Amino acid sequence: MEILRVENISFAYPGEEKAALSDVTFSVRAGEFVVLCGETGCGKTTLLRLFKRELAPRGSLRGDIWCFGQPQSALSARDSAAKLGFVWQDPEAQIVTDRVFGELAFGAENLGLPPAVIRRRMAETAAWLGIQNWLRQETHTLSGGQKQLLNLAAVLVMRPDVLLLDEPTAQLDPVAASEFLQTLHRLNRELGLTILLSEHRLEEAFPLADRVLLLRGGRLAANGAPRCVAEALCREPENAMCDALPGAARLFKRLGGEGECPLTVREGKRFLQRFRFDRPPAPEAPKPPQKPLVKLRDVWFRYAKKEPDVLRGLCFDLYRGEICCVLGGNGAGKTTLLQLLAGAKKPWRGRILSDKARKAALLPQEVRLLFTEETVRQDLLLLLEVLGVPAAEREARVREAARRMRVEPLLDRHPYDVSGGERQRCALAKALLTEPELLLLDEPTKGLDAACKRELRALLRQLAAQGVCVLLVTHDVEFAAAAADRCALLFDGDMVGAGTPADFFSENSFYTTAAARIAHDLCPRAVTCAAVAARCTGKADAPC
Amino acid sequence: MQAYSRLHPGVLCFGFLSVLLLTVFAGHPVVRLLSLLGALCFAAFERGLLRAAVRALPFFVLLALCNPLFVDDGVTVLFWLFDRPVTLEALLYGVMQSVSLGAALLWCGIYLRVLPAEQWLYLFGKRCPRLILTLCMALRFVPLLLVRLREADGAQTSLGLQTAATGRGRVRGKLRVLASVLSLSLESAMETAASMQARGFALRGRTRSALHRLSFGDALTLGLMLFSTAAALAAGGGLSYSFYPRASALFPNGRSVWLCAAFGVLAFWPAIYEGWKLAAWKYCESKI
Repeated sequence: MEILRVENISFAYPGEEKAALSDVTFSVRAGEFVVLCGETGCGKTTLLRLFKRELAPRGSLRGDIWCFGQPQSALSARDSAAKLGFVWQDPEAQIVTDRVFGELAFGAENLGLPPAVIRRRMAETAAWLGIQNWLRQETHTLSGGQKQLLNLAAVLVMRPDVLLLDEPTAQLDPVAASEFLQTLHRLNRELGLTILLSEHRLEEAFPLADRVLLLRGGRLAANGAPRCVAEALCREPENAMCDALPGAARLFKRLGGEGECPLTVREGKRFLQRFRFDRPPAPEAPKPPQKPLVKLRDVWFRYAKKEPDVLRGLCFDLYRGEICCVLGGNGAGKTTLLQLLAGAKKPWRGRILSDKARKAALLPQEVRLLFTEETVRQDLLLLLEVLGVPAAEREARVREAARRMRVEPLLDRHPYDVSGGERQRCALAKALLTEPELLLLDEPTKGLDAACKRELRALLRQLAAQGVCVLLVTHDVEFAAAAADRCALLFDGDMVGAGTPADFFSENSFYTTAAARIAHDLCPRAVTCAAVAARCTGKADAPC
Repeated sequence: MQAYSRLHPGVLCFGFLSVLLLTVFAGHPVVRLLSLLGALCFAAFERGLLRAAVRALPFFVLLALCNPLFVDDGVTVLFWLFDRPVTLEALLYGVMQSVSLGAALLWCGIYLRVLPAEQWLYLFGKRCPRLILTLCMALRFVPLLLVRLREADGAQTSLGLQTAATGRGRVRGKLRVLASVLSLSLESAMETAASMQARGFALRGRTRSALHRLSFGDALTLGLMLFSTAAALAAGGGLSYSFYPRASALFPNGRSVWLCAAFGVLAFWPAIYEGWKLAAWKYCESKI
């Protein structure tokens, strides 16, 4: 039974020549788990919003949308609100009230349900999702993953038949994202809820999906089982969308793409049995010893006198011209470390040594907090004015920074009007104006798609080549493996196990890339798909 | 303050308004003192509140001392200061004003803890739901705004946007922080609005989810409060008291004694109720 159907949908935003969606047709059956994927700007969010009347963007819409067997316009306001649940990307912005139970009750109160019914539904939903312990807490004290779970619960209290989710795990760390996706899987399997999920984290979403829809430039490029879509993508020449596929599928592509495409680590391991990996790893050129740019010696830090230490006797060195990634769980102290290096806070014990007063620039997680003016150009000029640069030079320096970060076409736009990846680059351009020796980035890959990550990697390489030391704090293991010269794990307030990506990730069993997890038996010390493919010497003789 | 906050919000609201209005408008010093003492007794159950009250004490002492410096009505002169007489009546008036203000603020602080925002939503939910929801949302956004301000300040400082040496430059730097936080808040407010819209906020017939049953404690509290408020108001003229030129007698007739006693019940009842429930709890606990 079809629960949702779109026929020949075309949509264009007002004033835009290029249509956001062109002639999209597909249907979703009741109880299906559908994953919508595609690069940023392909129309995923527009498509999801069109399903819900209350959220439909203004513009020229052609085509039909059918919900629950009737045209969307025939749906009553109550049904439209209750039966289609929507969860957004930003966990903070969706929360309305100050307490958790208020938030849970909000939707049901809107529907005019009697109080006893509301309390029963709240109790049931909270108990099923395991959030009954924090009912009386204030919403701003919850973690990101908890907030997103609360948003899901608040929607579930209204008893929807369809869940529409727009990149719900983009702002979450990997553990919380994984738990969220598993909760969605449970909802689908145990309750038969239809789920339409737009995702970038395809490593976990692909194996869970019944069907995958691939959007490209507003058109539906693929519509089928995850394996079929992955195989179709693997047959295409190298492009950014292939980077977004699960690690096993990427290996499949690099090693010839014959047979059935593996989607999980387990299937990937079985797939690799067919090949031989006799080539030894390429020797790494030894780095000439350099003097460190910044030395951290026995650094201890805590936020308040009565609180426990966040950093305990940290010792670490940073060198010029390298990209260093710091990984670690939530609350490990990564952001604190960046603030100490930027000079915003001082350690109560221990020293941070550098040759001369180090010039550090810190880019926070919420990059929008750095912008204060109407256009990007004015923002950059303002920074130069505050730094005391003479007026004659300012324009030239802004143009130079924009050229290096490839944001020239964005200079006259409002910083909030550009996409996430472009905003990241504008913030980098702003940071570069201060001519820092040390560039500190706090989770730069949050919410970025594969193409933007590629671009960011290239820019950081360029900066490192010019002698800037880049320190990245990230949860994104794949990005760290591809971009970093050195990786380190922050645990229990100290740096544990620093080394090159090949050393670092091959030593780890859990905190490592998909490629390493798949290939570590056959091909140790290969942590990226490219490295595994380079070590392959052909098919194994014996069948697996 | 747990036992007292479990009473019906209507009862608590009535208690709050009656004690606050009588404190503010009553002129009698004994009434004011009783109000302050009642509030302090109840605040003693919450350590943080008492500490805040003690920290604010110097301010109130200063306030009390301001009055005699500016007003020189009154008959009993204590000493002369810069050719102005400092009179006992003026000092007493200042002290009583201070007591009154302190009591009012302390009651407000207490009831903010005892009667949080969602209870107000429950009480007035049917009549003006949107207004009360706006209040709840404002309460949600205040801590969020503070967190964002701190983050923005840190971010812009480490980029060098706040290195101005002059005072004006620093002020401009802080204003820039505020501007970026406001822009961000407005942007995410749009998403909050979409979230509310998606969950049917525009639908008519909004209900409330809380359930409050009236208990024996509620009935007793309400009864006592009604009785004491009525008695206090009936005392009528006993509410007024004049300090100048000569301090009036504290208890000129039986009426004013009634007034003070009735108000005393009103002011001390929260502390008595809480203490009673605490004693009952300790007794039950000791038997385990």
